[in-house]
Amino acid sequence: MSKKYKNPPIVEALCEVQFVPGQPWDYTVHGLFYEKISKEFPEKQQQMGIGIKLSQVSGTIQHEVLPAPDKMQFISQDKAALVQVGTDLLVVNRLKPYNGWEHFKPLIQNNLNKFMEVAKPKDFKRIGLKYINKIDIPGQTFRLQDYFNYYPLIPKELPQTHGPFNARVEFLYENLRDRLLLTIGTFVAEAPNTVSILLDLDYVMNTPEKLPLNMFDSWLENAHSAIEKTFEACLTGKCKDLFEEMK
Amino acid sequence: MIPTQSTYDASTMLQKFVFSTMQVDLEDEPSIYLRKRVPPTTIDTMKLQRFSGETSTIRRIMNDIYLLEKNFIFNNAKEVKAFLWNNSFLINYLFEAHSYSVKYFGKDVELQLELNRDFEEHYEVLFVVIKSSSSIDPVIVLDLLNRMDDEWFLNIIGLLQGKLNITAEAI
Repeated sequence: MSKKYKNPPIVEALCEVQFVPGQPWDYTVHGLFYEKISKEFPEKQQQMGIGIKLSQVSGTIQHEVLPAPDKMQFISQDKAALVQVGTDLLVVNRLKPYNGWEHFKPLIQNNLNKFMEVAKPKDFKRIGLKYINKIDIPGQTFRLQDYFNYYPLIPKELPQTHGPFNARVEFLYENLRDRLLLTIGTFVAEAPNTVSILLDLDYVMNTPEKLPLNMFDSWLENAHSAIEKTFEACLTGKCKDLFEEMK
Repeated sequence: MIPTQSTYDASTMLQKFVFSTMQVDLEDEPSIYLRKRVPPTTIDTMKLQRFSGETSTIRRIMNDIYLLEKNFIFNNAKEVKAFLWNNSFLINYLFEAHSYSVKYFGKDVELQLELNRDFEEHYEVLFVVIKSSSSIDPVIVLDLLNRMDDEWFLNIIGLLQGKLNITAEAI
């Protein structure tokens, strides 16, 4: 049974799925998909990407960077959830307030099923489940080890008080098919007299055509379990007290 | 099929472009060793970095703030960053401010971001301070700022919720 917190530090959870196409990408997919989700995600906006235009002028090739259609974003009424669709790409994002795995998981599954109905992909190319946590520690200075079990170890010969930092490690799962990328670092503090730490947990499968389409649900559950276990292991009791566990 | 010279050139250029987008962070690299690994490119790297395919909205804001910090001088960086984080709708306008400032004041213009606040009045405004070269007559500086206002700033001012303003000063 996973722990629940009254004030979870999650500022964003997202699941990004890249596909091996079953057919050439068709931009009508955006419209067909929107028809299926427009009740829950009524607002839409376009994210621009980058295109390059090559042209030959006086015997030389010149290039010009141009905006190009990239992704469509479909946003929920309360603006706390969004679905992004691009070429062979689906992303489901949940922003603050995070309402729990029991809500986020079906949100991912439902949108994935709808996307697959219209885009008819052949296989998965890459899947990622990512949780971004922002932990606000009161005070101007603190000892990392009081709040975290995972932090950069500073040799005793070096100054023990330091400024912004960033540390990342990758753990391997499922016979090297999957990886969990764990990143910890300082972040923009919103309130004065606090230090904000970002704990980013990203579980990815990035070997194309290694996970059958019908195995997505079990992959998702495994990914979430690995993230949850890592999250709990990285934080001390003093840190978790900031989130107020619900019992 | 043997490619013609132009298709070969185009293909090479495309490969260089793809490589440069992957390596684009190194463009500002002070290390000569690391810079040598990057093929020279004239592509607008700021545009490329912004649209890097990030799908996390939080990471996108973080990347944008990081990129702004490379193109503006933040006066009291901690406060400016916190303000941008809480008012992330301003970020696109700041990238526009950068483009228009370069257009009117030249690519060597110095741009600063400065937060003016009055807690009692609940007043917080972020100023883009355009520091123009001292060789430009102050009258011309004012004229350039007015032209920039007419072309861009006055069209968006209603969308800024009174939280962003622009001023120009001679260095």
